[in-house]
Amino acid sequence: MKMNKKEIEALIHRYFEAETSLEEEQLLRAYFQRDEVDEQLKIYEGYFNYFRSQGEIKAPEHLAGKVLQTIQKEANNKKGIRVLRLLSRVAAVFILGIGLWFLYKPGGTGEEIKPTASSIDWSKYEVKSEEEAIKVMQMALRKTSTELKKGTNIATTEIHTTKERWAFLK
Amino acid sequence: MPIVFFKSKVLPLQNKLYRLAVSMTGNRQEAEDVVQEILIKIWNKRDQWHLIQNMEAWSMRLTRNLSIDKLRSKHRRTDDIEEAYSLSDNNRLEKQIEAKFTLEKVSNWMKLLPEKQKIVLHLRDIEGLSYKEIAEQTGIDDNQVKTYLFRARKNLRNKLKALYENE
Repeated sequence: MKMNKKEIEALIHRYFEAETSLEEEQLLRAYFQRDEVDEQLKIYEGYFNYFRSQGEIKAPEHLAGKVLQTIQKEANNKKGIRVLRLLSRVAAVFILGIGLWFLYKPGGTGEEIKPTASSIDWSKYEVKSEEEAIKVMQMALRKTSTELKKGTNIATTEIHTTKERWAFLK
Repeated sequence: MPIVFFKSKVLPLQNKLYRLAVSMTGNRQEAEDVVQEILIKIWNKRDQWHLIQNMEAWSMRLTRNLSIDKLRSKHRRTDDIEEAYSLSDNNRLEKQIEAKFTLEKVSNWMKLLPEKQKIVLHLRDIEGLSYKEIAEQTGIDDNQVKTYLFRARKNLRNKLKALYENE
């Protein structure tokens, strides 16, 4: 549709009053896209061409690929984490299994532990004569007497200490 | 399969999301980062997809919010965007605008628009959406959409006039 200068001017006026329809706005943009724009209307040429050119802008071609790559990477990371978790569970069960096997394996409880050293021959410590028996008894009584004396000394020392402390507290 | 749905229903939105992020941030590299982050976020929320009625509107809203967050964190280091716009006559950015009209200038003015005006203008003049569709995607009331659109266009027209009057 070819429009004259007056009609375009009227349309521009209504456009700036926000009274135009979408179709009329399209007509305006189409008019200013032409080569032969009226000299007096040239001031609006850049204005309407700005909106037309902005409408033709497209996102960079690599953008979608970049987004899909990020999504894929995240999915792989999550998958990796899931696999690691599964592997760690399997490893835990395996280790537990091995532990239990060693604990309960047949003959593994120590019931049949064989002595590694030869047993002590107590017969050589047995008293063989009456004299030897008296000697052993005397030794034992002497040892008992010494220990009993030690006990009396300790008790005497303790009583003295307690007395001193009591006196100090008084 | 979620990946099939993602490839057929979500990935094709990337151009729209990217354009929105470009309009909101005014920076293509930043817009790319925003869209990448949003697409991954959408994928990570795949267990909630069944609760979403309009995937496109939801994605656009996420993109808008993240773009605003990025813009705010960027402007915390410089100036507040709304303030920058209201003080635009004396603003450093404004002074940098060359005398001759170019697409870059409109782009700069777009950057300085308040957020709601910017998103409404983008969805109407770049994506060609109806007021109702804009309301659905932004959560702004139908009547308010028209008001924001009027203000945004008026702001840009004033800039345009000022530019040519100074020439």
